[in-house]
Amino acid sequence: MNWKSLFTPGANMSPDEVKSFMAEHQPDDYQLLDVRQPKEYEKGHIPGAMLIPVKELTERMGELDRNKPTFVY
Amino acid sequence: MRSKAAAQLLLADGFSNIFNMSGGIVAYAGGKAVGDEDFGMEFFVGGNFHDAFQMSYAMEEGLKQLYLALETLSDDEEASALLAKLAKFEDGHKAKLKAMFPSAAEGEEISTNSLEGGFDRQQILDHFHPRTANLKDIIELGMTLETQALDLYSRLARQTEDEESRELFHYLSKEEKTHLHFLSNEYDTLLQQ
Repeated sequence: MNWKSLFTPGANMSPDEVKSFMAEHQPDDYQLLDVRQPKEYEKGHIPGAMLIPVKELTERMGELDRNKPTFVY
Repeated sequence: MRSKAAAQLLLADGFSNIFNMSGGIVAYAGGKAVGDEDFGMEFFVGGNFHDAFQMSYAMEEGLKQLYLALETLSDDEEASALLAKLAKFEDGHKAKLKAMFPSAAEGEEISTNSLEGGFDRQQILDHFHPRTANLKDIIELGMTLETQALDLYSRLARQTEDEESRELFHYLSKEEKTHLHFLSNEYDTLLQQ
């Protein structure tokens, strides 16, 4: 566990804050990352979210854009 | 907690703009899209820009036809007015698409029963029949369709390897977001009445 990052300012955001950020920005200005299981994603996800289940994340980090604000749920 | 762990993995790898959405999707009070990652994508098999354009164009037309069909079924004045407006939006889309990509707009149009987000028109009409749709039904249906479309176009934009197609899908996802915003405002107005 990287304990330092637990205290990174702004690392947590409420769903309402995420929603207002999305309302004020274009869909290609940010990334939404869904780290749940595919079955959970299938039942309902935030529109535009990409799915990378948490167990696959280390291998698939290359699919993410490092320069964009990324909201993880 | 999964997302917290995921956010930490990304931060540890040097990502800097990472935000963990507290409370997860359960706490997210907004439209959600359904379906797996490939849902609705079967219509976009060609992989080239011409096909992408034709399919997008056909989906916009399909949605317009749905709104017009519902309008003929509706005896609610406000609902009819909204449906006419929504159909006009789709016309606006088609016109803009033609203006943005004039060369792709040439040739015959694909006619299709597939809708934005991969929905089936007949299924939706059957759902409302014989009951006529009221304003709330229409707003909810519109929000569902536009949410699915936003999701589909975003997934297509990520998946395509063709730069021009990506531009097209980005443009469409922005448009769907605008529609969703418009419908959300209509819904809020309705709820306040």
